Amino acid sequence: MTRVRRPSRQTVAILDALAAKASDWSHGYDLCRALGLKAGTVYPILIRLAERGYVETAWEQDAPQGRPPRHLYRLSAAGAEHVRALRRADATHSSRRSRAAGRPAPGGAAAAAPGTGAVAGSPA
Amino acid sequence: MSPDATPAPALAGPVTRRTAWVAAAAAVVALGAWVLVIRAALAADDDPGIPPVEVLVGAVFFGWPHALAAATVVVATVRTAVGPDTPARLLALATGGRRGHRDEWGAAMRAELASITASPRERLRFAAGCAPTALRRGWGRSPWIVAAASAALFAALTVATSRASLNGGRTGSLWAVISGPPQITLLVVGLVAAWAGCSMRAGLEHGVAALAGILLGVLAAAIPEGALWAREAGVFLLDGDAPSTPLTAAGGALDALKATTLIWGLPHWLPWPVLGAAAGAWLGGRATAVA
Repeated sequence: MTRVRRPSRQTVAILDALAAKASDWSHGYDLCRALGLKAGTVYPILIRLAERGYVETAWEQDAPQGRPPRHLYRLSAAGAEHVRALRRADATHSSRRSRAAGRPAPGGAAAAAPGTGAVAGSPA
Repeated sequence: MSPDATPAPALAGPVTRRTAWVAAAAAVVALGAWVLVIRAALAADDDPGIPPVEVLVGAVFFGWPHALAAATVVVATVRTAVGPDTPARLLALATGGRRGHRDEWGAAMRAELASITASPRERLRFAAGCAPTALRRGWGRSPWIVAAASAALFAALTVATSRASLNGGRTGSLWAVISGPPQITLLVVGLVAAWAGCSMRAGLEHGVAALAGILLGVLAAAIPEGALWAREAGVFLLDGDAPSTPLTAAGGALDALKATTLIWGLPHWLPWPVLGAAAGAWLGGRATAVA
């Protein structure tokens, strides 16, 4: 089994948000507001995810008069697969911890809140 | 949705009379700083009897590149920082000067800022958050290659001239290395990079990389060579002068360090990447206009 390196909490939150919107496009500022993150945190992560092929980018085509087209983001197929791998790794980790503590495993990664370490939502 | 087709960057702003006055003031401030430096150096040497006119002539002689660079920076900043308010100008400054695919993320940030109408504070928060990312973004590999090549070249030059002089007339060698070759190199690197990239920013990035490389290369070679000169000849590597008291290896190394970083090296090198980048951008712009 391929080991998935755990991304930062903020990266997971952004992946969560993009996964929750499935094939719909998101804007950078909307991600900042929805996640309560600064632009200086969100953009480096978006840039890195795009460079790794996890995020697709495009320019808005029907921009209103007087405003430049905005940049749009959504998970690519590789990004969706990455999210699924993270969810599997997270579920495995949670069940191991539960067994070690002598408790039954919780309902997997999907039960956890977004941005708290698990990747929630349907990625694709 | 469209594939990636980056929107055109904003055009450079005009140079107004006010900008020209601010640029002139920056040049005067740079020359004033040189007057203070020269007066402080004369006072430290117990030689305060130099007439003020000669101090001023000295400031112009040593400080004209700094004055020109200060004025250039002001004009370039004002021309790049174009926008309806402070956040827009800040982000235009941080993202300006990129071309083609390297401007994509800068254009994305500028477009996102244009869509934020909530409050001026929110716009400023967004722009301030994006600016450091935009400044770091898109350097590419070439500045690192320029830095490494400059470091290697100047380390080799420092060692070669040092050994040649030590085995010859022992008149010192560091002065010849740090006064002239770095300035010419920085001017050429800034000019070529800005001309090739049609952007002052490209020239500055490569020029600053070259400056860092030259500094590291000269220091890495000059410090041990300074110690070697002190041991072998008892004189300074800079100019072959002998101190009044016997020179230790540590003293020789420290003199080479001070000469390179504080006195004759770095302060005199600083304006040249700016001047080269400005000249290259101007030439590149003219070539594009003609084509």
